[in-house]
Amino acid sequence: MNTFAIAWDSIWHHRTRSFLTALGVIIGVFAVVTLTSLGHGVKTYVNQKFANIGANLITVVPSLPSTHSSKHGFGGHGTVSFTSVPSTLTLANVRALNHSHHPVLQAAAGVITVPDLLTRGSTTSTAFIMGVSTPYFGMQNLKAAHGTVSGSGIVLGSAVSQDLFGKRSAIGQTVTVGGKPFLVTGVLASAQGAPGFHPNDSAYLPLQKALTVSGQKDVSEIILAASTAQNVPKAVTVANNILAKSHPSHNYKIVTSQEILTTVTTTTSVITDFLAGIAGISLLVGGIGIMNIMLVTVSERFREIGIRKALGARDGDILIQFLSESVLLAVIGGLIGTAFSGLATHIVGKAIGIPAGLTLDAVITALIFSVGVGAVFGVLPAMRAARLMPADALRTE
Amino acid sequence: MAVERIEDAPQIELKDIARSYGEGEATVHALRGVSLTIRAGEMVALMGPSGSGKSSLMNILGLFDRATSGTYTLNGQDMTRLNSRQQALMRGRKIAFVFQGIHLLPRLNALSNVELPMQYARIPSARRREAALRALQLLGVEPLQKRYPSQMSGGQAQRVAIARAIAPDPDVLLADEPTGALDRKSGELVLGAFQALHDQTGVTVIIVTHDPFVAQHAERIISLEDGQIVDDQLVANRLMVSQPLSSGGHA
Repeated sequence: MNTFAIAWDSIWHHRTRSFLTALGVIIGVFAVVTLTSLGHGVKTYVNQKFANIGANLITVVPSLPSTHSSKHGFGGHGTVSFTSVPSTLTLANVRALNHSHHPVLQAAAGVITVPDLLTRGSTTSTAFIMGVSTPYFGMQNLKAAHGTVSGSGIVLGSAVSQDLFGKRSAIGQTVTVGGKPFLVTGVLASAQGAPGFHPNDSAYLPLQKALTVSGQKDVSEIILAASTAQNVPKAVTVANNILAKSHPSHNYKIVTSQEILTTVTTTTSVITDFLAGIAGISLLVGGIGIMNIMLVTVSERFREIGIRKALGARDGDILIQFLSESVLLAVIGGLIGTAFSGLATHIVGKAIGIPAGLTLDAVITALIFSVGVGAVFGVLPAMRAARLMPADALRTE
Repeated sequence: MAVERIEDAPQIELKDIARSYGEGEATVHALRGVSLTIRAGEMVALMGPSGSGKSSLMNILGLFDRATSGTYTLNGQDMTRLNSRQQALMRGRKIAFVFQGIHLLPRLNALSNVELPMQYARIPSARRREAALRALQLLGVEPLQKRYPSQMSGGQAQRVAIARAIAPDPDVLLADEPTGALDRKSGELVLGAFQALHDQTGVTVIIVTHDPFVAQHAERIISLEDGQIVDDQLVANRLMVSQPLSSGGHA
């Protein structure tokens, strides 16, 4: 019988106890692998989304002046919440950016939110209404399925059109926003959109009309497209130069997609590592369980150890015999845990719509960890067995 | 197997062997200076009541334990100087054991049990198998080779255990109360097996026992009491079991 056959024989002989012992490792490996794989899935998802929507986008949002003097005196009493900052970006800024004709700055689009309901007759849609300049559609990779995105009327997301008009064409029909009628001039093809955006459930008015219907003067944000992702830093400089003319107090902020992506990925990584670390503690507990049971096994088998040593087994032979038992136990636990994790990751990934699955990395890490746990926590019991004097071992009956 | 051995050559030499356990007031002196010589090819009984130190002596002879002081020479080699790895190399190869209460490994069949010491000696599997089968045949238990210890009678199991001891062709066969767990009939058959092995192979046999009847089957009886040798003489009316070696295995 080779070493692992002996180890397997012993594990199988006490299968209930072995299973309960391995359970600690099963749960530990399950937790670590599942969290790592899901974290990896989220990261992949976010990366894909950003890759689809162009890493060349730059967003300009209003902010407090970056100078130390608060000469605008928002709020008056020092407690200024960010949401109470009125927009400082104007339609003129959008035009200025659009007419810069600088090669790195491809296009600029103003965006506002219209806090009104979209209705058709007595039917009310849950659509989220935005006012956007035409370049917005190109930047967000949104294409018209019917009509055009550059018309003078409203553009409906695919789900909105479906809600209000069913299978019939919406083009040329009239909908109402804030009591005012708008002609539907475009219906978008179904699209995923950037993270946090839901183009299928949105409706888009031309920016100027949106400002009028909602009674707003300024735009909520300006989206810029750099010619390429590599030119983003240059485009930021150009935009800064243009905006600085009308905003000497620098009361705006420029955020690039790359920055958002980096922030999201870093955050996800930190959270994943943190959770995996906590899950790792359960693996540690599993290891201690193995050590405990192996110590019991060794004292139960003093007689067997004595016989083997009397028959010429060296300390190393005994050490390897017990060490391979604890390693095998941990690896079996690791494999079962990984299998369950594969199942769980698949189900959870499907449920929340991220491309999660077992990653090769996670599986290899889990196996290395199980072997490590089995070896580290098996050493003490195995050494105890190996160092027994045959006389002492045989005395115990 | 060769019967010729140089009868005069001392195979085992003990000089002033002492073994004590514990420290200070609580010290127990199990052996208090034992000196003896056993020549190659002898069949010796080591006798004494419980607490006489015979088990301690056997543990030292078998390299299961180390003497507190004194020297132990086997085939001219000082055993007390060997480290634990070197001692392990001697066990099962030069000195083989038959234990009280059988001590076959319950989860291995007869053949695997007999092969085990040779496996630990790193003997290639073909030679191992051959030697194991020869030993089982010699003891008349070859037909039981696929059986597990739980499927054998006590006498059969002890014969398998003897086969396991002699398969690596050791110089010394050490038996601790080998009939202790057996009824009288099986016990006699096992003693007959030792005698026949001794006659046929010339192996040195040392039987540790408290039972004068068992001791009478040896050529020489060394008596221990209170950790010292009190008597050492040849057996006048040696009992011989006239069973052929390979019979009685199926009792």
